[in-house]
Amino acid sequence: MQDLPAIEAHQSAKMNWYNFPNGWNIGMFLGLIILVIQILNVTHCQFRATSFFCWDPHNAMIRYEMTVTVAGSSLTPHEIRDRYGIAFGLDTTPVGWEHHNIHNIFHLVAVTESRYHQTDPASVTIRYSVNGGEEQLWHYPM
Amino acid sequence: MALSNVARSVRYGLTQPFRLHNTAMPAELVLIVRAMTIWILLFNELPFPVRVPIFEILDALPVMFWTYVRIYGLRFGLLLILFTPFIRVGSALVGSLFLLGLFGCMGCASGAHTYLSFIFIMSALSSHQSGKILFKIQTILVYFAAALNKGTEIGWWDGGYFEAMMFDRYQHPFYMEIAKIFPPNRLSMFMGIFVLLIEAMMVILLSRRIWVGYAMILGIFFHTSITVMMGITFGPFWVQIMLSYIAFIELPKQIDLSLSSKWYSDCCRKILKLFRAEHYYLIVDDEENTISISFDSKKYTNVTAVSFLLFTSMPIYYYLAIPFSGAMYGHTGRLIHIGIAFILLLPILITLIRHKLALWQQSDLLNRNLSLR
Repeated sequence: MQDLPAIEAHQSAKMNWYNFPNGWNIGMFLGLIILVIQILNVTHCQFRATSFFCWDPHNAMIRYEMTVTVAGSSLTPHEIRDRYGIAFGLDTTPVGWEHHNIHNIFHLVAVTESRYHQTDPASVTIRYSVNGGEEQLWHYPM
Repeated sequence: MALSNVARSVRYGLTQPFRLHNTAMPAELVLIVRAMTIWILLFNELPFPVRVPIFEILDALPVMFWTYVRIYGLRFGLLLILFTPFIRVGSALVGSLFLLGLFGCMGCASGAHTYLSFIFIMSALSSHQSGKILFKIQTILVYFAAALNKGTEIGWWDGGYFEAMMFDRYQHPFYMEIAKIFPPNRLSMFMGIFVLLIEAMMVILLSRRIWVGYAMILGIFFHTSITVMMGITFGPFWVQIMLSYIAFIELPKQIDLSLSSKWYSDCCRKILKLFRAEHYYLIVDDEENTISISFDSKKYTNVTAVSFLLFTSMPIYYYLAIPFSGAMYGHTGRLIHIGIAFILLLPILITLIRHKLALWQQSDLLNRNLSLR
């Protein structure tokens, strides 16, 4: 009987702003919120063109070739990579491989141009083929 | 007195990487996070620099600030994980920096790095109280979303994806030879549907505790064969998905070790001392003729027992990391990397298979007894 108050005191000490009753805590809440956001994003991805943070690794094998012209002169692959901050591919040739979604590249080009290059706009042409299919063209400005 | 306290603190810090059970995080997550930390240090992986961020607000970050934070903040976080008990704080810092790098670079979209950041974030948010549920759901979600996205992409059903990858992108000689045996496009179609089914099966198998062993076998076979066949580990992805399976098993809090002879007992004591596996209990039993460990009311013997012991000992990862750290680049290095990691995971698989077999035998015997009655 003497131990009871001590146990109650211990339990009440464990309940504070980050520890809740029934084994819940703030970490669990935050984690669940992050998971729900991811699930909503994955669902939303099914209905939109771009697929950032959609957990779609190697969804499609897209070969693309970028041609960028600024003030009448063409940019080298290295300059293209630098202008748009493309991390993978386009090292020595203007041909790159996108493993997620070609719309991610379109969005990147459009955002970069509208955000950072309003004074030196570029004319961009992307020739691409999804999973070895028919070659298609995309232009910016559209 | 103060000097002895300092010495004790230093000793405590230096032996910290070799402990699993003295932090605010479940032991399995400690093992995953610390092993990933070693990987990051060995490969000098850094969060992506801010360049055309997804959220425009990140443009407000001064370039120099982010440059320093992503290098020194990451190293500080990694040190917290390795040498202090504040492993959750370190994990939160490391995970957030990698995630910030992904938010800050639209052209750096990488599933492997996204998963890397979520490994640390979900571990940081987990505690002994909440267990490993967040981490487990995260891993299952990755497989679920990958299967869903592939399932809605026609290239995975008609073989277009594999044709483009194996013939156009990598020009894989072995695959191209095998494909000649079959009618055009047939092998690629089979491979696409096969991958889809495996990812969907992983969701189901990982969701049920009794099927986790099968999920691990399937996952290791699936990811390792892709890595070996393609010769690439997809950045940190292969290592982290292999390590993630550890979250689905229970590491022993305490193992009773019975040893047959003086020589065995001395030898094992030395090994345990070397690996600082302080949470194990050694029991010398001269009557038994084998090495055995009791864990979770089951008994494992000989090779499985020792393998299990070493697998659940954190320092093994550190010692094994040393020989391959110099040769990790290039094809040979990758194969060594794959081999070592596979060997590391093998003991737990053997244990699980033996356990399953024992259960099966038990149920078989029970059925026979019932039928005899």
